[in-house]
Amino acid sequence: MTTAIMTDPKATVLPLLEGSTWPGAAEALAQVHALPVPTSKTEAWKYTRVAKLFNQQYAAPKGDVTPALPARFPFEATRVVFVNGHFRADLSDDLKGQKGLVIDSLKHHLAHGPVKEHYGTLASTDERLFTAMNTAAPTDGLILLVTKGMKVERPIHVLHVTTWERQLVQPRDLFMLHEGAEVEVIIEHIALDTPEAFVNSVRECVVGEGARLTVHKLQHEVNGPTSISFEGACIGAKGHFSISTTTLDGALIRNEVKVSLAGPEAHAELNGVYLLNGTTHCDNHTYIGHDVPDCTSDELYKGIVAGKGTSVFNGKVYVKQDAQRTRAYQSNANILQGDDAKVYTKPELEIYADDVKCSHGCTIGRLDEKGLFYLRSRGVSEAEARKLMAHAFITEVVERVQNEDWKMVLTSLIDRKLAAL
Amino acid sequence: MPQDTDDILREVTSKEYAYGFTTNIESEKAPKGLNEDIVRFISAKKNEPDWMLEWRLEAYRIWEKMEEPEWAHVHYPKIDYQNAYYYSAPKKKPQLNSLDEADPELIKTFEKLGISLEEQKRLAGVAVDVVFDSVSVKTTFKETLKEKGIIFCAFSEAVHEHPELVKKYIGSVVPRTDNYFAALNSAVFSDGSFCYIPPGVRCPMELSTYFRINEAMTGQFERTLLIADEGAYVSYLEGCTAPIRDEHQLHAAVVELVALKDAEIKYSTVQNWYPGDKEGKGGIYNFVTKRGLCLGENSKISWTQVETGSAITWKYPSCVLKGDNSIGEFYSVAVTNNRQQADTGTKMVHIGKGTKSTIVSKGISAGFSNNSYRGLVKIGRGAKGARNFSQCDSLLLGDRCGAHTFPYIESENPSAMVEHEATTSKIGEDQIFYLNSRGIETEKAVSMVVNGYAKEVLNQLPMEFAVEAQKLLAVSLEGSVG
Repeated sequence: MTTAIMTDPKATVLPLLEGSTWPGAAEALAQVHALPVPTSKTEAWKYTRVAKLFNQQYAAPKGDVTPALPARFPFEATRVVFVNGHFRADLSDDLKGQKGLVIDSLKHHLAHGPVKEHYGTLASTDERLFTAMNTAAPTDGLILLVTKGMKVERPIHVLHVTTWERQLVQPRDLFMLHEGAEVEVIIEHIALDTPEAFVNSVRECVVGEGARLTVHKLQHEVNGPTSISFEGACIGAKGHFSISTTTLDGALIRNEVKVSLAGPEAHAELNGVYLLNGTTHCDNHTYIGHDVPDCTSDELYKGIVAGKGTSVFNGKVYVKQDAQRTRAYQSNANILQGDDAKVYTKPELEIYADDVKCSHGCTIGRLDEKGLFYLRSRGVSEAEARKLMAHAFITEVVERVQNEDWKMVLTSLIDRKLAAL
Repeated sequence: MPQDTDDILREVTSKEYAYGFTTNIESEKAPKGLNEDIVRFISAKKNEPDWMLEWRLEAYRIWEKMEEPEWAHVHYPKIDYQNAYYYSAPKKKPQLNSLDEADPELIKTFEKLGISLEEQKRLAGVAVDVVFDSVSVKTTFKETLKEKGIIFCAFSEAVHEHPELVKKYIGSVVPRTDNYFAALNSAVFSDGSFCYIPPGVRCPMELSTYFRINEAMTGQFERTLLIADEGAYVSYLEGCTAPIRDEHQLHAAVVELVALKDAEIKYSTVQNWYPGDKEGKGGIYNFVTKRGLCLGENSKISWTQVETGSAITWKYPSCVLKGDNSIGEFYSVAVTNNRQQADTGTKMVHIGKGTKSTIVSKGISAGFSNNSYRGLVKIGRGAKGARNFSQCDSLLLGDRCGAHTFPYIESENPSAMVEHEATTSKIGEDQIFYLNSRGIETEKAVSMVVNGYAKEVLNQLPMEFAVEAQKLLAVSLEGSVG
């Protein structure tokens, strides 16, 4: 008779998480041991299976390869390059130029005051296994510190390249905007044929009073790694935080955004576009906490799911007791194309204050037949008509981008993808 | 917010339950606790055939292995299932032909409730199957229904007289393994109603059951099975009030509806069970599994509910749309006040082609209560051209209550259309101001706004019920401004 040996499925990643000297690493490692791997019975992971991520051994990420980098955007931006999670000064632009602005490898700043103050505060390891894993052994990440009143002119383009198979990359960023600071960041993920790699990232954003942080995330990793990410943001009074996530390609993608509106009149805007085909599985999880009165939030996620793609959306708006005069809007619209495509959406409201105006809406459907018929009657080919309609459907989200240069780049990327759907 | 509206709100939220009284009818109880012997005891009490007992025992074994669900947005102290009675029946079981023969105490109870059987019989033309502490003691209009071939009787009677129908359909919509409370009910159900409408028959009257939990420390476990055969139509009403008790009482009912080809079932509920006092002491735990199966093509099941009572509500009247072009509807008004907690909603499972469903849910929370909508719309792969529309609105009256929405929407068919929208807000001050400016006092204005808010659902109720429901709403919320 054989004895069944119960092995911890996390054994495949544990060796890589030991011995890190980052702050809180030891405690986080203990949490990794304690927390179970989420299953379909875990409410937050109901539609996204992650057990298979723990089926294989991973290698430590290597930063010393030099991949060919894509062409630069047709507008001025400060480019920062990470290869397999490692910061690469040699591939990045000169980052020392501007006074009042720190753009650097986070690893070199762990002992600095502001980092000590904020690191780990917005990414709790209490419940989320992947945050605990990241905190136990971050690869490296970006520190972005903008001092009081500083308005950064050029957008910062953070380029993450994944080049190796079967590696566990754990990027860890910390963005800190002091009072009245303003900055725009474009975070782009590309990959070179690495479907077996696993990128587990955590980013914390501290947005000070009256500060303004705009983040654009672009995920187009053809045959790319599993990407699980968590963004924690805390917004001070009159602060403004906006994040737009555009998912065009990938394998298994999970984007979590957790925002805390912590000062009166703070505003959060969350936008998302996902165009999925192949077997791409994209899961957007958002949580907006209205912790104090007079805050506003606006959320708009739209996507087209074709082929064997799967889209999951779970948005939660939480209004604390006494967070009066809250205004929160949330919308998720999906177009399903293809018999094997699936959409699971769950927009939630949890409200404990009475003077609020909160609404959410979600739809799942197909392109409007009447609209298609109209275009066809005008002599537009069916394929072209579909593309036009799809473009119009997505444009509502893209229109929210303020940066015209970036909007043009994004639109052309989206149109190219739409043509391929 | 003007001061007087605060006062009105306080006045309304401090209103005591008007139906608190108990009737002293000597009852026969099973010993406390739950085990296989109790299940056998209940079955024996009801003289059940062996297959029924076996069915119950199997359910009990399933229940034993299950765990109480904790996902609902409600909080309550752990229930000690061994510290409750699972059977209680009025000792006198008269064979009644007319009301005069009924226990005078019983008649008094119904008079206090305002549902005098005589009145019901004469004015409303409603056949009432009275379930009094789980055992049906009085069935009226049976003769009239018999002529049409309609079977409307107590569940225990159906077990004896129509075993083939019961055997065929019991557990076919809500299997014993479905959930913790359904398994519990399947093991110990005391009685309930059974209804069968033969093919092509349109039930000439609204069928109605009034439930009333009476015995202290008794869980009530009724079971309703309603079958509409091909082309049949029936409208079924269910209304409940329970007297004041300090201990929490558990109510775990199961309702199963089956609609065959071209059949239509309309099921309406007004539930105003004792919600507990202002501090949340006492009250009914209402953990109910209600589900309808649209088995045949073009069948339709419509749920309408007005929920104002119970300390804790855990209830999701659902439709499984299996037949092609079948239709499911859910209309709900849920009001919570004081310390009440409600987690209610629906499930619409689209399996057949061209199936349609509509969900309209209106939640109103006041005091320290929590009111959640939880719903599932699932479009299966084969549900070509399926269509769903959901609207879930919440109204908040007071700054210490909560209103929550947890909709699950899943679609696996590209030709399906699903729409969901939800809003949460308080009564518009501008609306009240407008009405005030027209000379309508605040109390009346709020009543108008709330009634208008709930109208979409109230309109779905049969006339007799709509009156009662409007009264209930008026009692609990008239004049409240958040």
